[in-house]
Amino acid sequence: MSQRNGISWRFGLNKTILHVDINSYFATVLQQENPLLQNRPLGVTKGRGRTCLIATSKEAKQFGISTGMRRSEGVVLCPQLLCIPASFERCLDATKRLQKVFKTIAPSIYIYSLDEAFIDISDCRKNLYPDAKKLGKEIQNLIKKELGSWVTCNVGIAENRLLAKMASEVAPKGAVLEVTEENKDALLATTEFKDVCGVGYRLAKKLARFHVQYPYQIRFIPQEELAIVVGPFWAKELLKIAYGKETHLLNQLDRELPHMKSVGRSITGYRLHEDDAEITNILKNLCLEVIDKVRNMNLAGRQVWLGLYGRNEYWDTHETLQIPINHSSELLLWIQQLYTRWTKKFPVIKFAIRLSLLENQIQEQLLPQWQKQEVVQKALDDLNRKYGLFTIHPAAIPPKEELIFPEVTGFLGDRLYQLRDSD
Amino acid sequence: MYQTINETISVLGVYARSHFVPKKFKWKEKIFPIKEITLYSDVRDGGVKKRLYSVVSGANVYRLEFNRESEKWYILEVWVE
Repeated sequence: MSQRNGISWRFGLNKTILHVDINSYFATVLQQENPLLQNRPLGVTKGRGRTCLIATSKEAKQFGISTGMRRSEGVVLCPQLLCIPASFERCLDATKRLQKVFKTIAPSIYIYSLDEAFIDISDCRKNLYPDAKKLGKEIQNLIKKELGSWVTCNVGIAENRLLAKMASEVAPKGAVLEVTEENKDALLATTEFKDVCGVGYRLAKKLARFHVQYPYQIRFIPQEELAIVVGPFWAKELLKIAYGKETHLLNQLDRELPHMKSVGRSITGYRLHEDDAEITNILKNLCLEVIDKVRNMNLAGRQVWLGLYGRNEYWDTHETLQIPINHSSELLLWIQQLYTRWTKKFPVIKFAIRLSLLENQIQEQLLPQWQKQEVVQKALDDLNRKYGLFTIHPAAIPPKEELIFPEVTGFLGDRLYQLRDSD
Repeated sequence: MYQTINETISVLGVYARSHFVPKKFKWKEKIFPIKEITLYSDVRDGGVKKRLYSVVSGANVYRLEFNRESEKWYILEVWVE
């Protein structure tokens, strides 16, 4: 072990991970775009007419308005709350620009969600970044330079992703926090489970029933007793968290997936739908988006899944096919067929479809009917590429102005697709 | 709230460090000098690439779009209190 610049080094063993978390991302981007929104309490909704706040600005948070609240609840806490629809595509572009910035720092980066990234500087710390905290500050400045001065971020630095993310979660807004051997236990003893990556709401609630709120407490609970409460998998995982070790969920990030395994799309309607024609039109619309994504990645899928959600009801079905499909006419047909299986009908609020068991489309099929469909689909692809998405679409779909267009999710579940051009 | 406009405009700007920087735009026969570009974003509509600019002119904030396929400029939105 050697000492340099106040940092202990165990050459070749210590990893250094930085977790960058942009503060109140959706709201911050909107405030960066529009200076008239800066310093004002802002709630971000998914779209016009939506009431759930998917993000809130720093100023709104000071009034106790948090993500997931309804607009009406927010207005009670802060009557001057402004609600604006999010722009997912502009946020995605900002994320792509951040990805480029991070790549200038170290080759090993992972965009964890739209507003979060891990940067592994283990290999270059010794020569390039002996002071990781200084690097954290530099990253904050680079982000401001790239996206604008209103955009601030937290940077957590630690020996693994779990602790780095935990540090950036609990650090004050716009701060850099490094986890060292000296402050690690204190961090584990003061960070609530809600701020621990991988621990969901239900698990945190279950633990809270036994007055377990902080990871450090887990160290004092016998494994067998813990396994009874949370099951053997989580008993092991929680013990890892208690000692600040990386969990299974985060280890999964190291797996390199050659391509996406499934492409799905769901949407929650503005109201309950009972009319068959309305429901099938929405499903057909979702099919177009799924096929567009699948074809853009040169994939084809063998399993079609359909799910419908009511107020309290749920129904789903799927079909595994012998031959992979990637034409909109084929998917439309399969979804239509699956839909006929739905007999105990209920008013639908949420619609979901998925094409899975995806594989690379490496060989064209020889069946004449398939080849005809491919010619038509290729013509559709070319026209839509040239004149805009869904310009040409099957007649069974509503007109373009009523169409549902692709969205980017905050957790970036389809990062392989969304970030494919930026690699 | 943003008010949708979606009309074509003329834009005057300069190339600086291999980027086009809009400096003023003409909309409804009136010239709007651009004080600040607060954010730009590259987005796609299918294969059509578009660049969006959020700009401040006078006391207002506008969103402009450059369609890189048709090479046309649009004023998309204006912020109205």
